[in-house]
Amino acid sequence: MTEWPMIEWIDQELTRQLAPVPAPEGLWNRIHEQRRPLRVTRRFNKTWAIAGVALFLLLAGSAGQRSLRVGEIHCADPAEVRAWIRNQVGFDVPLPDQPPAGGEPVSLISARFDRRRGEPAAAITYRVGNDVVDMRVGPARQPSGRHSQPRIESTATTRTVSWEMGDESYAVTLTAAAASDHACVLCHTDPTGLVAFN
Amino acid sequence: MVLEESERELIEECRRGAPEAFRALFERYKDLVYSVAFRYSGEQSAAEDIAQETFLKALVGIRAFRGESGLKTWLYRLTVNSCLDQKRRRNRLTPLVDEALSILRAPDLTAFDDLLRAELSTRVRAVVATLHDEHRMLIVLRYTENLSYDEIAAVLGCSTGTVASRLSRVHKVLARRLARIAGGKGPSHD
Repeated sequence: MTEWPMIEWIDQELTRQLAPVPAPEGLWNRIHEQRRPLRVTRRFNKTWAIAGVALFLLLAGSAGQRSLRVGEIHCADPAEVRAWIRNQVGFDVPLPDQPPAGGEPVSLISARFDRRRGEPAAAITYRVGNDVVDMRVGPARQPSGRHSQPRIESTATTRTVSWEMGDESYAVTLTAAAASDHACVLCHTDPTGLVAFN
Repeated sequence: MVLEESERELIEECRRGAPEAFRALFERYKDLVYSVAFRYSGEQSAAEDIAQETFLKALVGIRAFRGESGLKTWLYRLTVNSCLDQKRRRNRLTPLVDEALSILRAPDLTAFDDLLRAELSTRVRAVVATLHDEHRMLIVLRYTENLSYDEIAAVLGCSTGTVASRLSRVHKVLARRLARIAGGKGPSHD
């Protein structure tokens, strides 16, 4: 196999086999009618509900809002997201005004209203390098005012790091391939001293 | 980044809520979005979910779109994010990965190079499906969309050098995995 130029052959095969494909005929109707995807999760239902309301608002001609007021904000400004969560969910997530310097670049993507154990919660999405990370913040089971030792649960494809701090509980879900300290870098410059990762 | 006049008008119309403008945006970019989604997920229903989600995100997000990148680059970013989000939600994309794994576990191939090449060409997509998410996306942007290194860097938010080094690494990973299937030794370095 090494006698012929493998990399060039792979290049040709990828070009041939991964060629563009046309979108199916029914895609517009599906979007226009806001049909649900074939396999949905609870979270996905919420996304569709939010998008549906947004579609309605847009088609109804309402304009001028900077971001959604239907339970979701798309914004990279930590101060604005923090204020939005405080206003919508009722508690303060101590996002620093500037993401910590050093390491891979961190940027906020969005936050949305959520529920955790039946209580109002916030779901924050942020990006670390090429990884997209979800953080859920809800009321603590046993408010202690302290930062508890993080707990890590892993599946074949995801890793969830959870802890309690103040009156809130935090759960960060990462892909299994992502570095564990991505759970902390939204707020901490040097997460290695905080968590004894596997 | 300077937007073309027609693009700027389309964006303005979409912001004003003109349904025909959003339809025009959809028609212009539907194949782009769907191709990335399909080649990334390997599954039609997943690709339709991703495309639907991407266009709804575009509908919502176009008001905040500041034109710092081109509309096409912005849509690529939304598509990439929808692909990665979808993957996380579903945990794993089947049946492509299962198919890939079963193929990889198949009995050894013939040693004859011509037959081997023909056989391996049927396995390239299966091996691509086993790549790490970000690497698979890199391959899709490069080979499905034929984007330049600069364009991929703009979509993924990294440097051109990073794109080049990652693509080089992915090529070597693919070569190694295919060589392993073939029972050959493959390139001597990763």
